Amino acid sequence: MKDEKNFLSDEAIIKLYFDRDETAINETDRKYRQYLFSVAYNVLCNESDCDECLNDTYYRTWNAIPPTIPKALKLFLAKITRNLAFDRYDEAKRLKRIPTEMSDSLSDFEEFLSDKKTVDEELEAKEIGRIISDYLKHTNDKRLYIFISRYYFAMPIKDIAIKMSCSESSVNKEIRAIKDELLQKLNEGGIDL
Amino acid sequence: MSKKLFIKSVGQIDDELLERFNEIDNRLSQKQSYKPLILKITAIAACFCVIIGSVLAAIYSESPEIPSVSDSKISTPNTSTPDTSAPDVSDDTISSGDNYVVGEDNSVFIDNYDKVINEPSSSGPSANKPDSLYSLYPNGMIVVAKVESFMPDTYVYPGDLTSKWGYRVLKLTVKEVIVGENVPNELYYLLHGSRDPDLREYDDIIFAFRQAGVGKMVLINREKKRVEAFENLVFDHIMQGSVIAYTDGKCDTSLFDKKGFVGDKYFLEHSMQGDIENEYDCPIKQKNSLEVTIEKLKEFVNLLSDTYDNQQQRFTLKSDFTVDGADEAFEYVEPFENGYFAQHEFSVDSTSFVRIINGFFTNEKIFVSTLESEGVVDSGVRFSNDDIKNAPDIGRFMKNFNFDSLIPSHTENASSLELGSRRVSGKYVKNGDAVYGVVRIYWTLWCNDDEYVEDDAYYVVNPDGSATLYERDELKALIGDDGIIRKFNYNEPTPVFYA
Repeated sequence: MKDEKNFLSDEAIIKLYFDRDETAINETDRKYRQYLFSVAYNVLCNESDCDECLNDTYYRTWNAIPPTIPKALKLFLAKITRNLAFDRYDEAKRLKRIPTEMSDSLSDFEEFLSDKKTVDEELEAKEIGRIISDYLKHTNDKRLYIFISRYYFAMPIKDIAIKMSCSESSVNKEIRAIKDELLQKLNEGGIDL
Repeated sequence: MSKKLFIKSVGQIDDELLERFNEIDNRLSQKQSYKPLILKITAIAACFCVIIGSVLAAIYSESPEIPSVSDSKISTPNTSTPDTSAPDVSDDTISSGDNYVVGEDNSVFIDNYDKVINEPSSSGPSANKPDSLYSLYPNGMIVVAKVESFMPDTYVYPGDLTSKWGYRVLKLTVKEVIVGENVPNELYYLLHGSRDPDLREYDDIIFAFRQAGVGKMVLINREKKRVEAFENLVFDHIMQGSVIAYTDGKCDTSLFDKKGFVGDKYFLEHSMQGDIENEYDCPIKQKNSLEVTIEKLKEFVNLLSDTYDNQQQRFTLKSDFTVDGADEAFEYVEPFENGYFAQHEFSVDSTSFVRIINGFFTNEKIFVSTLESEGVVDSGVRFSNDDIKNAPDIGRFMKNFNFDSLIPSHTENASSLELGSRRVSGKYVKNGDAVYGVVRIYWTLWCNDDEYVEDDAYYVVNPDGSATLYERDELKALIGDDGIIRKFNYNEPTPVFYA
């Protein structure tokens, strides 16, 4: 079962994983490499790191399916890639292996982001993640799309604007609104900023 | 809140939100094509020149004669005498071709390290065709090995003089082959410089390499400032579970604390734990001894072998380059004076070679496939011995040029911006009958905390060692649309973290 670009359907690829057929990885790579590369590259800005990140993604996917049956393979892969990329980024930053152009900015949220360390980041991340999820569930499609594009997949504003057929300033305006709303939610949730 | 915590928190958002995002994304995609990103990705892919699976079929043959080739696709340069001059180990940069030496004994490089430095010689064994290929199953080859030593020097690929990290070379003694054929007793493992090379403390390490081809490869020794050729060199990205250490026969998880052995916390917590052992389960368990693990790995391989009738075709690599012109191509890429060919990319059913002159890549490439439909293809460029002999000296120019003094000329207020990075690379490009030594300087400059701009400059090296500055369009007219010419837009801010 192939689409117009001669890619296997996600269902067919997942079946290959279940059959332990290594062509599953080839087909995944063929279909999603560009996309996953862009996810990793947005974070790492380094081709060889991205390549390793993708390899790890495929390996993890191979180990995860089965038993996991992803609802959406693309997202399933992107999530793994995204998290691996940030792990790698974090590690590289810790080891000061990132050239200066790779330092993170997060400028949209700069006013409440700092390098302050927290005691139990894992637990706190879950709690903050829950608040963010709750906020996103109640926001409109436009803001959800912008937030996830920018802060989950680290897409450039320019690309988001193109995708949404709107201006960059329009995206920036939405980001400011998101920031204000989210800040309020976090405050309400008792998060120490 | 720390930035790291914010990133981590965003990673915790519910899957249903991602699904909603995906639906919106699909709707938007139907509305319009997403050309800019696609173009960007394509550009990245075009630049994505990670050199894997490297084999160099290029050491001096005892007879330096170049075979005559009848295939019209493969032309042959004239014969010449190999270079016999000594390496200049004191140079502070890569220098000219006269100082490049690949000694006869460097096939086992580490053992002969001092000898190569002090007594370089000009001739060596005949070049090998890439015939020492390993079975690829399920991950190229899997061996139990001991890390005997690692090179003190760092290496970079030809033409890459400003790489921040470089690679280290580990010498492995193979104790047992779990998967693979024709695996030699000693392997040399090219390890990225960001990783800790000192793995000698472990009695045994299981290495799983995807790379199937092992042969000869050219690298630049950054400390010794010269070209060196390696035999039996393996390069692979470390994947989770592809390097597992054992001490006293037991899994030694301290490896995962070592610098650069990334992502293995997940592997430890998931794949290496648990008692469930079925055909889908990871054969490597933390609780298992080395002996048991080897057994499990072999079972794993056999299990998959039994599952697939065509396993051999799918996973076993053979040197089956029987397409028309393959023999001639392999003969052609055998070495002659300073005209090394390094394998640039190696895949399951093809191999490609790129010529290196004086430590720099050229635009002469040859691709050989096992598939009749692809056969032997080349880039249409041939460097003759005269070309090589008369090539402008990129190394000398680089050595003498003060790159620090150069200010990016296309960026507004460049001198007031913080320098992010600068990379200098060189390449020989032949266009028509002319050979050009092209040097590219590429900068990133911070315009604010979030964004940087890119800039570049190109020099074409003159015969007297000086060089002329070219704009991209001018250079394109001179050398054609070669990949060394970058394609970004000047003064266009690029977000770095995009968050």
